[in-house]
Amino acid sequence: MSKPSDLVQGTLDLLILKILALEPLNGYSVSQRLKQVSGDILHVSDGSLYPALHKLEQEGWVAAEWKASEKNRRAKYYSLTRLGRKQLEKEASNWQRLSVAISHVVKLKEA
Amino acid sequence: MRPEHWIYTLPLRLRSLFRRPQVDQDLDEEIRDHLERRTEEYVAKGLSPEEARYAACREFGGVEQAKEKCRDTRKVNWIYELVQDLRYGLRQMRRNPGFTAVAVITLALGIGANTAIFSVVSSVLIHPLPYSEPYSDPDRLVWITEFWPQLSYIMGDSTPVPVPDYLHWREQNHVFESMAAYGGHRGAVNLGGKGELERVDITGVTWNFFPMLGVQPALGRDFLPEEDRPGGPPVVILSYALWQRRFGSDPKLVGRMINLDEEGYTVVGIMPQSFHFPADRSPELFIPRGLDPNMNWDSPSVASVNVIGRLKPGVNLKRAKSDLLTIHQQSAKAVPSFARALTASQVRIVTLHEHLVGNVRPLLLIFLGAVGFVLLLACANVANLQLARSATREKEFAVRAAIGAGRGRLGKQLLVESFALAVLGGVAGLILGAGGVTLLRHWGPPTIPALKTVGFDPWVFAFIAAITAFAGIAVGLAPVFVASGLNLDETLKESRPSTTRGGAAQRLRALLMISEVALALILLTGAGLLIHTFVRLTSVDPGFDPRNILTERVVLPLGKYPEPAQWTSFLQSVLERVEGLPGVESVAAASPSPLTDALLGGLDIEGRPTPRGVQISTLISNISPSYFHTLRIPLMSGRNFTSHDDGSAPNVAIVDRIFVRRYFGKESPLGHRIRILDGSLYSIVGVVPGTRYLPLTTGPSPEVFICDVQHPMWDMTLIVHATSDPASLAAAVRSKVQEVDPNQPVFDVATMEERFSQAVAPQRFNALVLGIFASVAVILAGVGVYGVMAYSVTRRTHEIGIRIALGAQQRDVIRLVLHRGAALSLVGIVLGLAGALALTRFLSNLLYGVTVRDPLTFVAVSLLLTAVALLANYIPARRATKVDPMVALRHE
Repeated sequence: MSKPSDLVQGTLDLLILKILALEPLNGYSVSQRLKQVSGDILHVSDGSLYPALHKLEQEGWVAAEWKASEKNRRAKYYSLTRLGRKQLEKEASNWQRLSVAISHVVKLKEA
Repeated sequence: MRPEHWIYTLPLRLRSLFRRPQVDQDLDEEIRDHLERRTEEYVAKGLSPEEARYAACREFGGVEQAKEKCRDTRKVNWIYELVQDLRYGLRQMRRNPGFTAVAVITLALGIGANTAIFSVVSSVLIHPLPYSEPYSDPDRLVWITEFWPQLSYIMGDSTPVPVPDYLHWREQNHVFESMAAYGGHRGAVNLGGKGELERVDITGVTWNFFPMLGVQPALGRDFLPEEDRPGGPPVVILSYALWQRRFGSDPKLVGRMINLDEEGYTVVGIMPQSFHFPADRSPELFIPRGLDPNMNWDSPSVASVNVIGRLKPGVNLKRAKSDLLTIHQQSAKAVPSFARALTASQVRIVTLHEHLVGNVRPLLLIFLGAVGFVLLLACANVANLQLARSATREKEFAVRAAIGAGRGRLGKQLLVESFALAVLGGVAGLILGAGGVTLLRHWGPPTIPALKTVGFDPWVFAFIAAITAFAGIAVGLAPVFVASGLNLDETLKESRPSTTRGGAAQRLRALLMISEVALALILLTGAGLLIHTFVRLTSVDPGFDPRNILTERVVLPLGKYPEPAQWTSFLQSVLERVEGLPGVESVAAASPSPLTDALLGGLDIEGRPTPRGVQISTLISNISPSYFHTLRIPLMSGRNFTSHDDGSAPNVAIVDRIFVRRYFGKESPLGHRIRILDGSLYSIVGVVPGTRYLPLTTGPSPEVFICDVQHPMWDMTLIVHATSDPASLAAAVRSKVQEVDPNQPVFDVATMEERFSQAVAPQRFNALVLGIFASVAVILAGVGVYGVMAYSVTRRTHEIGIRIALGAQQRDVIRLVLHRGAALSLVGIVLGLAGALALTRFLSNLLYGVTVRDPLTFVAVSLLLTAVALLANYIPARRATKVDPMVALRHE
């Protein structure tokens, strides 16, 4: 496995929001899904994931629920709120603009 | 967006706040669950359970740190931290009860004093007049007076308005919505009927007076316009207080008659309890003023009234003034020559509020400034205490920083602690302040209006909160400042507080000490000036001996006593009877009341004409022949009045020395004649020394005495010279008066010494209040200086011990310690002197006989404070000499 790219904190929020938009998950599953979906390129250290999840919860963008999972365990499941959806749209469009700008710069022909 | 936000997050936040253990537990469980799943993942990949677990934990990273970061994301953390800081701070305070007690008491003194003074300021200066309903702009109410430059030395700079002027203004002005007036009717009447005879203040008001103020009687009705004319019906409105006190709040009083000066008046209305008459003294009876609409300058007597007006909306004072002045100047053209000079006057308009409180505003603001200084001193002292304590807490700070408290957190906690201290001080200060307000209400002089209504209102509470916050910040900055400058590594390694480190703290302490001394000096100087003024005033020579003199006033109702012969016989009977009383040395009568009232009249000296347009005037007093003897005023030349100077003899007068000096110089005035009053000629037959009038702050003025036998008086003051205690004769004298006429009340009873004391009551009050503040300031400063020096000595114990061990003598040690302290104190005193020189000019209106740079006061005050500072420095220095070198060397 190649060294995972460093993720800026802001983009971590975006990724988590998007993953939760697809379906409610608990923290462990979010980490797994992210790895899966990004083709193993994006890794989040667990030590950063949970603070990020909690922050999103405090901001009201995700809501948490304790559910009984398989194997009779209690797990905390996060889901996107309506506010969160709006935030996701906002961050997604920001990211879009940012990446387009960066691409432009990178594609510049050297003189 | 915002309210939605709250819907989502509020339950979460509340839960974080109130169910914290549960939330933490949830967090633990969440992480544990994650680790289990991760472990299972590794087990599935083939690791053994222990290895899997190990790998999971390693992959996670720092579990506790992650949990801490999760906790940090909680938005309600600040509340939790605040509570934590508060509890910690309170615990610290409980552990140091001595420090806490001193700090709280000091702050309470500062805050309490400020609260008391601000309460007065708020209710007197800030609150508008209670006359807004139903009109909404009380600033449109104005007080109109005239200013006669030539007579200002007696009448001050505003006089009531002569009625002709008032009438012209009322008719011709363009700027006033309405104008009303009050005054006249001799100021008071004898209230007869059931109960004790009483003299009650009364005034005449124009029919539109109450409506203009936006008030109306609570019972009955207001005056009708047709009642407000000369010869109008005898109707009267009572004040609420009189109705309650004298008539038992009888609701059927309206419509009935009461007996005023032996005349019947019909009660038509009762004023509401909340009504405040716009003057220092509130009359209790109101009758229609009954101005003669035809009164002009040619009328035989021209009365004056006090005028209030309501400006039209949008008119400012300047415009109103010029409008009235124009009218005034035009009507002055029609004035006969003898009064022309009196009309060379100007018009003054101020808002009614300004009129009522303007005089007292400078004084109150000075008090507020003074008490602000006291607060600063209190904060400085507590800040010093905090600094001293911070030094012993250095280790505590270092340890807390080492285990993770950021400097910001430390600083916040210290501030919270200081705020808690300040709040305690604030609560105690509130109680103290309430006590102070009660004291002020009872002991304040009558010159401060509305004093009786001073209390705690919302403004005062806001003020208390503000200064408590200020105190909290001021007191908290010092230790925060010190804590932020600490080098934590060194602190943890050091075994004792260093004597050389802490330069910033030392500088701060020095600065605090200097400013305390300076502030105290400024306050002390102010108090000293006021005290000096008071002493000067009380030592003014009144021109006679005020001891053992009793005065009582009697006013005969003219309805019952229409003839001057009746007045004479009344007075004679009274004088005879009182003279015969045991304990009475002699008795006399005078009108107007000596030393408190003055009759001012035009003067013409025969054979010495004055230039055109100049009118000289003099005080005129009507006395019985025994007057000078009773007051022990010696006759300087000529003769006294005798019983031969009666109605058939030529008019005679006695003048005082000031009169002679002004108009006759070294020449003897005896035999010359003067024209006064109605223009009759009076022969000068005697000269007496001049007497001073109350208030004693006015200068001496020339006075002419005329004889009562030639001018019977109906408004007389009895002056009784007692062999000993004059107050004890009061009842006896009254009974003698009532022997002559049982229905005649006697009022305004006071000994001359009481009058003098009352006359200087404002100056006494000022000196007392500022003196108290200054004393508190000096004590605070002394304690502050002592504290700083004592602390410094403690810090240097080790060093001092070494020096003593090496052979330093007692005086060397003292000099060592004193050196710095004395130098700092001196700097403080010099700065304070500079400040005092700059600031005492604000006291100039309150001073009498003393300049704002009075050298005596400045020198005395400097010496006093230097002595206090030296003492405060010396005591710890002396203690330093007692240091046992062996103990000091071992001291850690």
